[in-house]
Amino acid sequence: MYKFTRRQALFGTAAGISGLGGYWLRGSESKDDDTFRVGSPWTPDSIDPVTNGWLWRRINVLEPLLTVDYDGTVSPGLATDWHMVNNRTWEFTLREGVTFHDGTDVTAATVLPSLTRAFDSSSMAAVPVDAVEATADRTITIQTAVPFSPLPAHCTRGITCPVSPAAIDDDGSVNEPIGTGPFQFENWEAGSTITATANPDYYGSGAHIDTLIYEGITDDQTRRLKLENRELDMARILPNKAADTLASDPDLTAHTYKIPRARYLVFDLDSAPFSDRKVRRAVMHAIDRDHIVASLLNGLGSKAVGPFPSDVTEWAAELEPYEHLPEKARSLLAEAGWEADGDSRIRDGEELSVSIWTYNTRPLLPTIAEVIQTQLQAVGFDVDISVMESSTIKEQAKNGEFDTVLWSSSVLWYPDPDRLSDFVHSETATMFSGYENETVDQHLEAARRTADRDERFERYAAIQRRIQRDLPLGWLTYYANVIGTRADVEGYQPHPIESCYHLEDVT
Amino acid sequence: MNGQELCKRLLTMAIVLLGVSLLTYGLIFITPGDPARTILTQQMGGQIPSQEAVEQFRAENGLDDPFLVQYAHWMGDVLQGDLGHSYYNDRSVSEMIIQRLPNTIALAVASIFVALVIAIPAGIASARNPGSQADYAAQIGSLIGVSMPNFWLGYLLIIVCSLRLNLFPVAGAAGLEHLILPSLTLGSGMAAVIARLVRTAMLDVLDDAYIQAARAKGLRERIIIYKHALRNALVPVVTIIGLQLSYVLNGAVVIEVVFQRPGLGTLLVDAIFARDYPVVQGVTLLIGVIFVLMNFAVDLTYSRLDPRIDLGGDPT
Repeated sequence: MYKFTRRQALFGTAAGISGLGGYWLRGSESKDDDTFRVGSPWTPDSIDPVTNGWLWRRINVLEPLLTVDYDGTVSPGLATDWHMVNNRTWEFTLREGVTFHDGTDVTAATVLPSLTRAFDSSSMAAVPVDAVEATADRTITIQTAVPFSPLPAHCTRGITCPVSPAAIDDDGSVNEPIGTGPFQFENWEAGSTITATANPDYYGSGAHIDTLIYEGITDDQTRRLKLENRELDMARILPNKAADTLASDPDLTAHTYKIPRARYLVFDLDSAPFSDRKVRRAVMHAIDRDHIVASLLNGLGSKAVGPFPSDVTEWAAELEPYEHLPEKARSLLAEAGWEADGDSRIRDGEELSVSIWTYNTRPLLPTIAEVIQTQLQAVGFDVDISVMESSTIKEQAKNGEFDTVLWSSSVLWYPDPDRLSDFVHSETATMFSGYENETVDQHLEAARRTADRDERFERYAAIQRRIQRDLPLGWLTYYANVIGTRADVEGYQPHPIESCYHLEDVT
Repeated sequence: MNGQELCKRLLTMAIVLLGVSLLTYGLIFITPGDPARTILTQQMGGQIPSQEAVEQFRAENGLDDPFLVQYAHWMGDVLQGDLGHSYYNDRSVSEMIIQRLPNTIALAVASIFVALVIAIPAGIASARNPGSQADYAAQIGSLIGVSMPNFWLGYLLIIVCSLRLNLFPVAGAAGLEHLILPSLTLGSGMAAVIARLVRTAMLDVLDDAYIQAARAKGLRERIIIYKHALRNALVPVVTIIGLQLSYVLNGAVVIEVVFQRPGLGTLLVDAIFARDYPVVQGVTLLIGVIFVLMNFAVDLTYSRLDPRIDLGGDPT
């Protein structure tokens, strides 16, 4: 008898648990239709715009002074007008009739504390702002230490989004993301979810949905499975190969669109063999980028010509692409003194041997490295691949000798081609090729000093042509994003720079 | 156990924890990768920060101090009960740990429960009739359980139980319904190890003379197995559970990621990748404390299970 009751108890518990499970499940299935759930790879880790502003900007709880339009140009945001007063002074005129979510008026005085905080922060240290002042009720004046025409583009960054003065504590920390956007903060669970509701007092057309739930889900398969199981209405950044299966499911829609993000090789210009431009050119001619796009990227994305994809931004210059010409690669290597010796190549008794460093937190990079390895071996390189942590690569490549790094980054994360400074300026570059070119530096600096668009375009085009010739970086492919939504989601328009998802337009 | 023994234990524990903290601090310090650069990259949404930014950050966070100075600062704060603040989002480390702890504990308890519910009956069944079909089935089951990668089993369970049968949600950490699939995934792997151990230990015990005596006395088989044999067979099993619990506390990263249940494991791994020293140190210290306490608890359980095991009391 004893045996029986124990067993009964066990079965009873099991049945009870599954019953509860079923009950809860029904609960989550009959969710409010006006709730929209979006799953993204990035977890919300802070409510402070200085540390996590880009995320709160993406879900449009926070809004910056200026925004980025769908064509990648700087457009009005909280400021309706902005202009250069003199070459070191900018004036921004704030929109009328805007309030923070707590009801505070948006005036020069109320946005000033946030702007000061942002421009003082480490993340903005490369933006040479001297002073931010409220010079009239609706006028913000920003002084830069040197003439700096990319300033408006930096004012689109999430970090600069103003929060209500009430949200900033006496010790300077932010206690709640009280912004101005079409969604207002309701609550959050650090590291996992944010709940926001429609802002009824929004000055624009406002949100169509009542509640927005943002979930940070690091695993891409989990995002996709949750979308399939109706636990999400939108799953962002899915693997390229998911696009076809999403498209074939009548309940789901796949949005694929190009973004200004590139995969590229960074060459070490200070050590052999890549100190020789002929060897770098040989690499570019040896790599079959069409093959990489077609077979590894499932045809999504495209082969890169220069830093900027011309179908996403107007700043792309017309450049001569490096075509896949293995014969040319071989003759370039021979010209550089690397003579064929069986399958490999030798110069002064030394073998042509290089290593590619890459990392795996961005999917596909190690696989692409393997394809490049095969293609380089075909022209006589001996190639090995090291997959490391990205921060290790950054440190070791900056300090020591490397051959080449396969890297991936946004090329236009704030919408200004001054981004090229990060790649090729001899002193301020964050990329580690060691490239030094006086003409390029002069163009970069001159383009910062002028607000004249045509002159800037000419200068950035000249830089792009120059680095296309010198090859400190070898551009491989541009990205396309895959976003999955439930089929009944309407009104979503993918934004190329993704500074904002614009989910207020979604129904 | 007496007071003196307890003091000795506590002292050992303090030394172990000091060693653990010094070692982790030292290891992360010599790991290439600058915290300033890494954390700023994260704050800037994945972009590499400028040199000015890195220098400003290093100065603000005291990262230019020598290793021992930084460690001493940290240790001084810890002794005053302050685990410090994350370099990344300036949240207090203890707050971050407390926020993650319920998920981790729930998963640990539930998966050990699942493991025991599967492993003990399976282990006993195969030990009672070695060489039988039930034994083979249990052994093959354990082999599959041990060999099956966690994440794969997790996806399989999601596809079958959530997408096909519609029983549970795919992922999340909100309620009990979110706990079932992850604890099944994690628990079944542990069950495999424990079942094999129960089987071996039971086989040993069942051969002992006192079991024969009990049988000769005419006790019912059920009482013999559960009351006499199992109790003695549990000693090694308890050891393994103690070890596995610490694995669940910090090693269940894959489960936490697949099932979107942020716990201590992901907190630690993310902090290591971000070079967020205070968080790494705080979590490691906590895991160290749990590990030491767990071993202590395991020792205490031994003497409960088998009074012959004496924890260093006076020999009588």
